[in-house]
Amino acid sequence: MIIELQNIIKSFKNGTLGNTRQVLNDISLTINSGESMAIIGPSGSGKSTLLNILGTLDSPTSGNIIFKGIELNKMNEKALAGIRNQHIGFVFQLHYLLPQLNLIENVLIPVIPEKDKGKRKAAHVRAMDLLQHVGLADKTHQLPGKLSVGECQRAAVVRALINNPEIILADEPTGSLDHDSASLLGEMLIDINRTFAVSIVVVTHSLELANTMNKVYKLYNGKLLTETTNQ
Amino acid sequence: MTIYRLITRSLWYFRKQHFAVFVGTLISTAVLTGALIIGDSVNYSLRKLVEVRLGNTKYVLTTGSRFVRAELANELSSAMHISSASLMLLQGIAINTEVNLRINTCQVVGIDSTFWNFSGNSLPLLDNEQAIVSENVAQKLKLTVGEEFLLRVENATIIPVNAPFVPESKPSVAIRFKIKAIVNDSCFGRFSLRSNQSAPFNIFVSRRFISKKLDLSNLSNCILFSDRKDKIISQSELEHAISAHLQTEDAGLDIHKLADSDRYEIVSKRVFIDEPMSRAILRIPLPSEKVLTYLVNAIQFNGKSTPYSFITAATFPIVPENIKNDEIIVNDWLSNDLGIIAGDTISLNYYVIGPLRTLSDKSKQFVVSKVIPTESGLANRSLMPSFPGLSDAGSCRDWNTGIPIDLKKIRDKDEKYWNDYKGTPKAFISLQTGVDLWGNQFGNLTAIRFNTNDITIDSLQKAIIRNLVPADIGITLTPVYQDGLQAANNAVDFGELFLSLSFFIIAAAILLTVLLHALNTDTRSLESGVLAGLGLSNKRILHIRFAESGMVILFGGIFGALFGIFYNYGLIMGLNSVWSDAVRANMLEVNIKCSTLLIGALCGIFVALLSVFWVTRWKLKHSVASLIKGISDNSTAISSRKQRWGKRIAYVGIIGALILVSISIIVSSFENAGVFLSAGGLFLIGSSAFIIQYITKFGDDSGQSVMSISHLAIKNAGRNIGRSLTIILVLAIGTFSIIITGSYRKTFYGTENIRKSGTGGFLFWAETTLPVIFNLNTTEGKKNLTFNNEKDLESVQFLQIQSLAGDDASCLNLNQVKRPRILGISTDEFDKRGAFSFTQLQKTVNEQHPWLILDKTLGKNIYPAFADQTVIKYGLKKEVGDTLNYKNEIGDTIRFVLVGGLNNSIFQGNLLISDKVFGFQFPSAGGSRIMLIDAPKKNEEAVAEIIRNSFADYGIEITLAATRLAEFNSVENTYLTVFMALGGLGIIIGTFGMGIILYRNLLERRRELGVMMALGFKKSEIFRLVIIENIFLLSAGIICGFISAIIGILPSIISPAFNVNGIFLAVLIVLVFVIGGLWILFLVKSSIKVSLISLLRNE
Repeated sequence: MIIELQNIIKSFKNGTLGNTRQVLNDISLTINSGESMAIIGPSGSGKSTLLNILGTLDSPTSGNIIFKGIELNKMNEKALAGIRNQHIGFVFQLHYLLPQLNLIENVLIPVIPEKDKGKRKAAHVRAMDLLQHVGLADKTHQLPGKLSVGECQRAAVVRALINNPEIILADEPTGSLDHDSASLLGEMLIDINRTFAVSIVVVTHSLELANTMNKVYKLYNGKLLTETTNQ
Repeated sequence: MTIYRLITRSLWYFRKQHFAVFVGTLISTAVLTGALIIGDSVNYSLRKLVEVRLGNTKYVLTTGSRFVRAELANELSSAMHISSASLMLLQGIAINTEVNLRINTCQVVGIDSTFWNFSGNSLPLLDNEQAIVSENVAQKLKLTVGEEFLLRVENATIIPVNAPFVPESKPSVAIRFKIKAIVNDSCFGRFSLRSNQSAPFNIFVSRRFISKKLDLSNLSNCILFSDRKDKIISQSELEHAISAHLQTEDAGLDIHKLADSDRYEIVSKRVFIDEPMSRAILRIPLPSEKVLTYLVNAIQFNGKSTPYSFITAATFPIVPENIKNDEIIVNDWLSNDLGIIAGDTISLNYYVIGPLRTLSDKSKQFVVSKVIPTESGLANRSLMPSFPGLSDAGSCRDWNTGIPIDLKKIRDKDEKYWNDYKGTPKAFISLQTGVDLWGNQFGNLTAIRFNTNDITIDSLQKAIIRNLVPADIGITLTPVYQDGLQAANNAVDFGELFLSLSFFIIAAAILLTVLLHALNTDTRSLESGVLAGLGLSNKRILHIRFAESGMVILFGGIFGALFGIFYNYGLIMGLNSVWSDAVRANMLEVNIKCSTLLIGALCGIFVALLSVFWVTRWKLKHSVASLIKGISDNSTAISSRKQRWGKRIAYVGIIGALILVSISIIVSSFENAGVFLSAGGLFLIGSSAFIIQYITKFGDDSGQSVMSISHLAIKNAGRNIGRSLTIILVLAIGTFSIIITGSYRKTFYGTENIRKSGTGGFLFWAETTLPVIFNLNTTEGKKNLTFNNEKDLESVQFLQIQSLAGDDASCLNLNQVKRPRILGISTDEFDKRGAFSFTQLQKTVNEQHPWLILDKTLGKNIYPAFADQTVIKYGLKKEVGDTLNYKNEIGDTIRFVLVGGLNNSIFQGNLLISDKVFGFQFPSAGGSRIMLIDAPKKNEEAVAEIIRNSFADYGIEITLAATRLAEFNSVENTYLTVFMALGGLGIIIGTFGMGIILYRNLLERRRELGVMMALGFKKSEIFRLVIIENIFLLSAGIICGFISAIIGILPSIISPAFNVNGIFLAVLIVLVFVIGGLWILFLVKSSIKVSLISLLRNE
């Protein structure tokens, strides 16, 4: 087991009206090693919020998050950043590559906190390998502005993998891509899941992508309703 | 990938944004550094001026109203192995008669060859009637080398002009001089012993020649001393040497053996032996005879009268020891003349001479105790003092006594007495009675005698000098160089002054930096979110951001400090030219200290870094998820809380301002400007909050009606309340500050005739270089006025003021002064008129009759004094209640307690004391040099002409009192002009900030505008939409500031003296509006130029 959510509730306060809106309602979920999982649901159902909580980008109003047996609620911001950096990989709907950095530099951003020179060198080699793996070996020194959205999103996936995380969290990773690029990225995620034994959690509207995952959850009105298992 | 690489890449990629932050930091640092450098520059210039003024002079010996032997300088020079120079320092009036140009106050310096050693330059020796003049004299009189001019030199005399029986003499001696050379600053062109940056008009002439012309041969009234090359001479060492070399002649004493007598007689060249001198003489432990001989107008008995006779008051053996206070001994001649015998009662009529030769007729009755022979023993002609114009007169009709002599009263027998016995006293009284009747501030004795058998003349001289403290008779040594440096070092702090003057521009630049950085951080919040999402801690992201901006700020600070030098050059140029009213000089030089540059750069960098750190931290406070989404977690919640607070602030601000104004109006307390200023400030805060409320309400009011373009525009203004508030506040505070500053310009137009105003209601202020020694309000005094039509002098009143020279403590002098000029004013006249008003009075002062306090004595040698409040605070750096120490003419320390501060008056720079105290403590000051003239405004021209013509030879400068006040005000007003100019620049910088905000807003909203076009809006409508929104914010800011400022300056507006430079203000406000408007127009136009729909296509 990598992450376990226990009775997660998340609510937001409405400033103008002064009332509170509950986005996640008593969610419990376990993600195991090597598992691939999709979370689907209508807009505003709390998918991204759930993913953010899984990735420690956001904190729940109540409930526990257990990461490899450690309770994350009790951790400070710095420790959480360390967990994100070393154990979790993120892929956003938009690639969010920094426009000022070229591809290889973007991919290596998560290595910035690393102080060990040997590990930094190893990361560089790994980045080159991964980029080759996703077909971007010849574009390592290009700025994001010069690449297609699909290429950038692939680079963003490589960035998520660079520190060899146990889990990748992807928020609508194909949302900004055309059909072909989306299919390619979906295949890539499955490939990564299998090749690197990395757990993957994808929040998506795309049933096509969802169906490529081991498990599919539906989130409706803040509740995790059904679980479908794909073989 | 390293942090360093991320930072350098980001620096380059976001260079445009960083450049803006760089410029903001550069401006704030440049202004800050420039202000600090100007402090150094002014300080340096003043210190340098000390060298220019004094050359190698380290000490100066001044002699007050006395003169010492010129040879004393050489004696001290040899003894101490230092350079010295004897000077005759006088005042004069220089006239180029060819073109009728004149300088009314010149410093005439009688020199010899030793003087130029002090300047380090050798100049030609001066013959008689040759002069070397400073450049400003040559320029003002339009003279060149070889040309001649007329110099009226103050007729300096050994005997004080106010002393009894001193004949009236011409105030000046006119001599024609030919210019031998014109000297610049490096050759003592600015030679002056006073700490003042204004250049004196110097005329150097031969000391021997000028002394001879004034009957002061071989005398000097000032000696300069240098330091020794190998050793620093201390003041006490030099004072010691002076005491050792001083002779009785330097003290003005004459010691001689009386003919046919066994007595040494000590007399003073000043006729009366002043108190410290007689104290020193009488401290000799030997029997002495004290003499006071006085001229009485008449001795009367039984209807008979003997005119103009000398009476001697003396001790034994001249007068018997047992003589009673009301007894008199008469000589044969008088006894026969009046037919009196022992036991008869006679009356003595005499004058007591007051200030400005005011004569009081007094009389005293005595009983004749004895009749003695006309010339017998010690009772002889030697008892008559050496009155000039009297003792040397051939006959009684030739007497020139300084008092009116009725020649008709002089009989033949009186002439015969004069021929036979000269001034042999006709009667004798006890010394005590004589002192009571005729003792005066110049001394109570006319001679002291010692028996020749008791002491030799040499021992007598030595004993007197041994007992004499030079300072007691006004011979003082001053460490003039050290004092000058001290005055320069403690001068007006221009660094501090310009920091405050530049406050708005610095604040605007910092605000701009913060704003730009905040916008940059906003734009890159997503990046921060991504970095956080990828596992970089907030602290690390903060470090990255801070380091990135820090680099920019570091360079901005370094370049800013360097630009500060140019900014400082600009300010110095301004102060030496258009703003010279503030400094009264054109000698300011730029002085750049590395330490100042460093401090400026560090301060600029620190402030910018602090702002950036704060903004970055604040921006990074949001959760990672919200950063990625580009929204604040609980923005709406904060907005709601802010709304409630905003509403409260708006109500409290506006209602509070109205209450304050209403109360002040009801209780007619318009004098309390602070209340109105606070009301203005409250209104500014309240109205800004109100506008924000208004905008927010528009935002919340969505969907309730069909919106117009204007409606939508105002709703749009509420999209980012923070930015809108920034725009409104920057413009409002800027406008408010500038109008407030402008209206606080000191003016008095319309109030100058009011007694309570700074002019005291007097029409003219006149100042003469040479003293006027007669009372102009008397018939006798008016005879000195030259006029054709007596009607012109109707209702004209003169208030003559005696003065004791001192440093100018007004705002016209940048140096700190210790002892300002003292003016002895007529307290009764000021009280009668209720003249002038006070900013502060001690509790002991009667507020209804404040001037009368000056006549009081607060203790032994402690007197109350007034000065302008600004002089007390800035010139003297003191407070009401503090004390100023002076030495009076007899060397006693007198203390003047500042019991009140005058409200901005024509007396700026002076210390005001009672004329009675003045006359008592400084009797030798001699005549008045200042006149306040009350005259009908309609006769202004005629009166000025009469005064000008009557006192042309006195070097009169007559100005309207209002003009004099305006001159003082011009200093402060110039500072305000500088503030307004720099403040205006600050607002313009503020509009740049507004432009940048607008630019960002437009960038962020281009897609939204594209949508509107897609929905069918025309370009012109979209243009209107954006223009209305931004013009609304621009106008709101300016109007808020304007109305708040009007509330703040209500007392000034109501005052008749209100004279704000409306055109300047209007131009400034219009300029701000126009520049802001142009920004809006330019940015909106360029944004709309792009096909907005294409942006949607890109989407």
